[in-house]
Amino acid sequence: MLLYTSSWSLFRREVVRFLRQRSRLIGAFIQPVLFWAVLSSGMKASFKPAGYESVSALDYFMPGFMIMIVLFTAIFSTFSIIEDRKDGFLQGLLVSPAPRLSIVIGKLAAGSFLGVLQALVFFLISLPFTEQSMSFINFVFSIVILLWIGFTLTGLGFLFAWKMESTQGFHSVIMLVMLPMWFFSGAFFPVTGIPTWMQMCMKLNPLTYGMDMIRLTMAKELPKIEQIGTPAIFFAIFTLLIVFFSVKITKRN
Amino acid sequence: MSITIQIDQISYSYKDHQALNGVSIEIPAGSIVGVLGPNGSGKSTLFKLITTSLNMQKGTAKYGEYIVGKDSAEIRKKIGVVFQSPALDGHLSVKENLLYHGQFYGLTRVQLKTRVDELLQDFNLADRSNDTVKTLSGGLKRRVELCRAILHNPEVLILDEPSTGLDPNARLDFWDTLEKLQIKTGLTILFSTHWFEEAEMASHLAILSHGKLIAYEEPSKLREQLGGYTLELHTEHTQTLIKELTKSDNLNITPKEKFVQVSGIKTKQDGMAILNNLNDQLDGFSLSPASLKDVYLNLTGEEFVMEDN
Repeated sequence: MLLYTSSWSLFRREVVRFLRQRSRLIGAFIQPVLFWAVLSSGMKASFKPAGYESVSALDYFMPGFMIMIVLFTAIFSTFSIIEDRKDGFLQGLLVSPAPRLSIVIGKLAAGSFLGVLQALVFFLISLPFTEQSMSFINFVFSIVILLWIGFTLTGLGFLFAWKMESTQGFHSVIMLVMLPMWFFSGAFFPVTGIPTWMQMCMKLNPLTYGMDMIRLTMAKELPKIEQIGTPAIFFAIFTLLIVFFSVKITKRN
Repeated sequence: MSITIQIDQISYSYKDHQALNGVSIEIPAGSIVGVLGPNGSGKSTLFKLITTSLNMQKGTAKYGEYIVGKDSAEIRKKIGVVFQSPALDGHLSVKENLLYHGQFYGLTRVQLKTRVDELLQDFNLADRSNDTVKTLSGGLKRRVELCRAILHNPEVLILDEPSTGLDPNARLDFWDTLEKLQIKTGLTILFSTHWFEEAEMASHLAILSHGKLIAYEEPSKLREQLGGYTLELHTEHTQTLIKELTKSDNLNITPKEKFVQVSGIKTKQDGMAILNNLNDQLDGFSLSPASLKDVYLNLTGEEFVMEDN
C-alpha cells in the first residue's frame, strides 16, 4: 500500500511539475523534432544504408528521433532530483516511510510517461510525411517498448543526478554519456556496413537493443520471438541493473 | 499519544573532525526539549542521526522500543520533521504539497482530503490553499511546513532551527501555534536553536558545545545554578580590575576582550555593592539578571558566536 501510494504521489507530482514548466517541454520536444526535420530532409538523396535501401531517410530516422525525445525528457526530468535536493523537498521525502523503491519507480515512471507522451505527439505530426504502415497492435506494442526504454533511460539519469550538486554539472556529464549512447544505438545508421570498432561500440551499447526492439515493433508485422528475444533479454538485464543500483544509492546516507 | 526518546552515548565523526562526542539525552514523553548550541556544535549532526537521515556510527537512539537504524522504517512513521529550509515544492500549491506528501505516509487521497482541509483551517491557511508555495512569505511557508510535518499524526515532532529566516512577529506566531498544538495533542517536541529567546520555550534545555553535552536542565534551573545576576564591567585596565575582584570570594570572573564579566552574584544588592567599590575604575557597566547567554558563557568560557545572523 505504502509502495503504491508513494510511487503514485511522486509520479503525479513529477508530471504536474513538468507540465507547469514550459521551458522543459520546449527543450525536450522541439529540439529533436527540428533535428529530425532538417537531417532527414537534407539527407533524403544521399541516405542509402546497407540493408535499408528501400527505406526513406524520414522513415529510417523516425524511431531514432522518438527515442531521442524520450532520452531528452529522461535527462530533463531527472533535473528535478537535483532541484529537490537543493530546495529541501528530498530531505522530507527521505525521512518519510516511503520505500526507496517507490522513489525510484515514481521518478522513472514519470520520466518515461512524459517522454512517450511527447514522442507520440511527434509521431502524429510526422505521420503525413512518412510511409508508416504500422498495424494497431504494433502501435500499442511500440508504446510499451518506448515506455520501457524511457523508464530505463530515466533511471540512468537518476543514477547520475542523485550525487550531483548542480544542474549545470549534471547537464554536461549526462550529455557526454547519453548522446554517444544515442549515436551508437543504430538511430543514425545500422550496425551493418560500418568499421569494426564502431560495430563493437554499438554491440556493447545497451540502447542498441532498445533501438532494435523499437525498429521491430514499428513495422508492418508483429516481430517474431526469435527476432525480439535477444534484444529484449539484453535490455531487460540493463533495466534491472539500473533499478537495482538506483535503489541502492537512495539507501546510502 | 507520545513517546520517549533515549539518546545514548552518540558519537559521530566526519572525515576531518569529530562532530559529536558521547552525547546522551533522555527526552520524556510529551515534553518540549530544546537543543541549544552555536553553529558547529553538533546539533545538525545529532538531528540528522535521530531523524534517520544519517547512519549511526557509535551509540544508540531509541524511540520507545524502536531503535534508530534497525527499525528506521517504523520510526519514520512516528516522527514528523520540520526542516530549516522547508521541504516543500515551490511550484505546487499549498494543498497539493500536503496531498502529495501525505501519500508518502501511506494515506490515500480520500483519507487525506479531510485531514488536509482540517489542518488548513486550524492553521489559518485555508484562504491560501490554492496559492503556489513560492508566493508565500517565510512565516506562512513555515506554517505549511509544520502542517506537512504533522499530517500523519506523528508522536514526535522534530524541528531543526524552526525560527531561521523568520521575523520576530512570525517567530512568535509560529511558537504560539506550536504550543497550542502540543497542548492539544501532547506530542513530544524536540527542537534545535541558536536563539536564546527561543531556547526559553523549552521545558528542558540541552546545551551542546564542540560536540559535547555540557548541560541538560530546565532553563530556569540553569539560571539559578549560575547565580541570580551578572555584571559586565567596562574598563581600560582589565588586569587591575580582575585583581581587585579576586579579593572577594564566590565570584565567577571571566575576562573578555573589552570588559570583565562577573557572574554568580546572588542578589541585586550584592551587585550594587561591587559597583560602589569599583566606581572610580569603571568606564561603564551593566547589571542584569543572568540570561541563558550568561549560562552558556559560564559553562563554556566562550562567547556564543552566530555565523549566519
